[in-house]
Amino acid sequence: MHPDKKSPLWTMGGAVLIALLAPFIMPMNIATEILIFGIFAASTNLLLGVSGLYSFGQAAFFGIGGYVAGYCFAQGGIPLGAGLLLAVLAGASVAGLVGAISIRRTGIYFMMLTFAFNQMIYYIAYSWSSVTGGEDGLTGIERPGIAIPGLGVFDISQDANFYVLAAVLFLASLLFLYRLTHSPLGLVLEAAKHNPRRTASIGYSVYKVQVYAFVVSGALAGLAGGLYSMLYRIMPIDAISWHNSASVVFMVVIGGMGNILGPVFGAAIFIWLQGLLSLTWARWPLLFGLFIIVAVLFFRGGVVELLTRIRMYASKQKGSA
Amino acid sequence: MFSLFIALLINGIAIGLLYALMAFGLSIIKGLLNIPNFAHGAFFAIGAYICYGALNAGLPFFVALLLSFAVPALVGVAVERLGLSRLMRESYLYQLLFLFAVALVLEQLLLIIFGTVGLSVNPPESLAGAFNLGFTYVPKYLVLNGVVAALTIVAVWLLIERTRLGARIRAGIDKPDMARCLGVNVNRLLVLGFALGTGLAGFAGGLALPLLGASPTIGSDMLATAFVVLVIGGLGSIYGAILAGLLVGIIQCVATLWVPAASTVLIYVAMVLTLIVRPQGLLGER
Amino acid sequence: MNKVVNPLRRSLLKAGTATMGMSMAGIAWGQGRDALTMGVLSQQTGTYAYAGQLVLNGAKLAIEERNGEILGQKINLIVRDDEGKPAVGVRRLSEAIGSDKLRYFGGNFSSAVGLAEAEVAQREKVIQYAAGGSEDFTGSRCNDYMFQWSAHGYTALRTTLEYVKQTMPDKKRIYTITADYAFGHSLLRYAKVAAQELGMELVGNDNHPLGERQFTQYLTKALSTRPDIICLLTAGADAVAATRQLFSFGAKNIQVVGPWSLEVDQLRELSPQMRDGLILGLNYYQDIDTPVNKAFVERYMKAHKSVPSYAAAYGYDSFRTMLLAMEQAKSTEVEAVRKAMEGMKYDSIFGPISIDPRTHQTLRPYYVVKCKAQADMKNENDYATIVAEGSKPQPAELNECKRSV
Repeated sequence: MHPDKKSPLWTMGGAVLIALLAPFIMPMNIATEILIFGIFAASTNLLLGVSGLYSFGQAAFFGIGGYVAGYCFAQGGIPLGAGLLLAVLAGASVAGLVGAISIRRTGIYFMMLTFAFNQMIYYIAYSWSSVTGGEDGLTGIERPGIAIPGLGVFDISQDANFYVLAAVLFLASLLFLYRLTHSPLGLVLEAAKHNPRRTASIGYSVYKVQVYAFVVSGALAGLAGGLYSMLYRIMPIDAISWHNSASVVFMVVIGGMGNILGPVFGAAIFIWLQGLLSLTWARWPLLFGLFIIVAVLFFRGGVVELLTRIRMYASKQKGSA
Repeated sequence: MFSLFIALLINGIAIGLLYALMAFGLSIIKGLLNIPNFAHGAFFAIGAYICYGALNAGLPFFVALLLSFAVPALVGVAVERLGLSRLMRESYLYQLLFLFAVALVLEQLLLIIFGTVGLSVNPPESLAGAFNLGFTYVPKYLVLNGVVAALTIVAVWLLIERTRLGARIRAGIDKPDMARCLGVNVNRLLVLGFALGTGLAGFAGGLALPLLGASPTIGSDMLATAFVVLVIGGLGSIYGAILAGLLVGIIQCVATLWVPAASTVLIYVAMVLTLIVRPQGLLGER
Repeated sequence: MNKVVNPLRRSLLKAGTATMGMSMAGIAWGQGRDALTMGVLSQQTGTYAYAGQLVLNGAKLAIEERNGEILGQKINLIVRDDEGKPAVGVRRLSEAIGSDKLRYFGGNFSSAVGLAEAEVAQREKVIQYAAGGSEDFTGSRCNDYMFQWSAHGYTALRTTLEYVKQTMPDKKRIYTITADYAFGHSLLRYAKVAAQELGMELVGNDNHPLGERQFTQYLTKALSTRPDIICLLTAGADAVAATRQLFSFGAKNIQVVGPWSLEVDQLRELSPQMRDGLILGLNYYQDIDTPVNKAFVERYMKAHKSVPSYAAAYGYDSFRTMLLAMEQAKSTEVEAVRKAMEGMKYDSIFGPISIDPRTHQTLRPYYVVKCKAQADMKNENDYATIVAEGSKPQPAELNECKRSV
């Protein structure tokens, strides 16, 4: 993959476009949720798409970030930056630990390990109800204002302002992931995905690099979780369950794993579809499941492949006319 | 205290045999198709609901049980032929997502057909009530559950170890390419194996109906436990699941005595330890 | 994929398609300009899934009684599925308040969902008439805009255990099986209080996670303590599973009591043998003998060909009461109506009752029923007889609500 000099601008440009347009074409809270899950999905793609590590337990890091930030903001007196930073650190450290242990195995064993850790963390969160609220979730989360020296307080309890915060963090996360993927580290991860032995034989520590990928992925997932806790001012237990892990894997696969915007599209489709369908039919997961089956059977490259195919088909038509 | 322990042990063995039955099917599928069947819980649920429907229609219990094997097996055939076989060459990520989506669709269909209300059924007349062992009661149906599950496992074991079909299945698991060279229709084997696995899951669901009922979430509840059993028993061994099922059932029941909140976490800790220390599980070989 | 594609076109194409697709999501739910929006937010999936439709049935009846309008304003009833999850409920509620101008709602009797929604109600200043077993509704999390329709946990436990004590004085040892969340914890707390008041003994307890299907290990443990009474402090599908499995133990001399557990909807799921002899505490039973209830039951049966249960009665009575309050306040504005509701005395399906002005608890009776054997059932809906009624409110010293009127 040769990083095109034009690419970063257009990829980031696409992201900026999304961030700018979204609140005008859909309800604010859906737009915010898409950005949040966009961060989560993009961070998951670092493991799935870039590193080839099929982690089925990402919700654990998302959830931990959410609970840590949520707990801070429910207590009160903790500034926004500190709470989110703690969420990031929590996600990163747990992910590092899980990664360090799980990477020792490959293939299905690796996948089962990430699943098992997710379940463990889920049940710990469930039982530790004095802190997490258990089944009822963590409630009473506030959105602390951001004190900007010289300008006053940026009040994010207004949904529009909260969206701005989410958008800024979204773009920053995507930029970071983009730079990482196109850096030498990213190239080593890709190489290790294709042929770990050869990569190791050239002298790179595949293990270290992959643990680092876990740490970054966990950090951003934690950030997303922290934002999520403030979105509805409640941190529910199912955000940390393996169903959420499966959802984010869907988002990555449906959107397309080869590109940093792919997972964002996946998140957008997933959440938008869910929001739309759930209003119309209580049995909407049926349609959702069918959608995924069709996508997996026929459009494995995700939305990106679908769009490219449409384009190719369209240009073929033009050619023959 | 000791008598309570024994009581819970008996309980655990009975439940464990149910887990074992379900995980046995899961491990056959894992062995033949090399994927963890994320839809296994849905097949368990199908079995439970079919059994309910059959009993409601007035059919005798053993017919209902047969149907709770047959219908999920047939659905399994459809799933394998129409979807899984097409994804065989792809990375297993797509296979997993496909199965996950299938589970979603199947469970929603069950909700549409049977409604959202949980359904329950009495155990057959002859098996109502409990054995009074003095220090505890053991429900008669629980014992039947365990016995039938054990017998079924033995029957399938005989099928796999002592019949020609079974030999082909074993060949398909150990050395699929060699089996193909020898003229075994491996594709047909894969369908059969998948159907056998899903049938066993459904059978477990039907068998457990009087105890657990048929409810929309019963599939995913059982799925997670089935995975734990699969891993602990051995992703590489089809019989490890049986031993592991018993262990998990016992651990779960006995743990409620001392650490009820942690009983589920314990099981996942065991799963993680197995994967790290002995990934082939209790009975698997690498 | 190794296709070399112009990145500019690819990104723009992606962005364009995404925009087109998402514009469809901005569908506005149009409704009449002057209509008053009231909402039923309840669940179509999960443990209390059966209830969603029933609450809606009840609410609709209450609105139809007034020909769909109040004080000359048309009533717009919206329905949302919160899937029994607090986060989804919060989100649906916020959306409904924003896009549909929702001002009055009720519907979910999962305490977790109701309490989460109460925070939104407080912040957005809309009135919620909640149901649910947790004492926090009128206790530590009481607020200005949320009212509690269900009886208080204390009333439920006291009334039920008092009946047991009066009719079975030698049964004193109680083992409890409790749902491990807000609702269950509340019930357990008041089980302890009521038992102590009545001279009964709690010999043990087990908490089970919500959605538990396997009760045999808890029941084995319970039976080993040789209790006289097994008290099920759990509801919905979980209670059904527990009752079903308890039946298979065939322990004949243990009385099973469900002070806030199985409702008529769940009784239907159990076979008559499994139900026979169960003592249940209920917020509502169709045989309640008041003019308002008799009329309600008749109309409900005509419309839906089945008897109304707790969920339907909740939907009906809560909406009816809110509309009565609007009538009394001569306004549909939230501030006026909520002041009217505080301390309001009115006639309901329970007869004449009132709402506590400070805690917002509806002060109303709680009923104890005993389930019949199949031979004694006059028709398929005749599950039980009302054997007792009580309305003792929570002792004031135990209440944690910090509101003042």
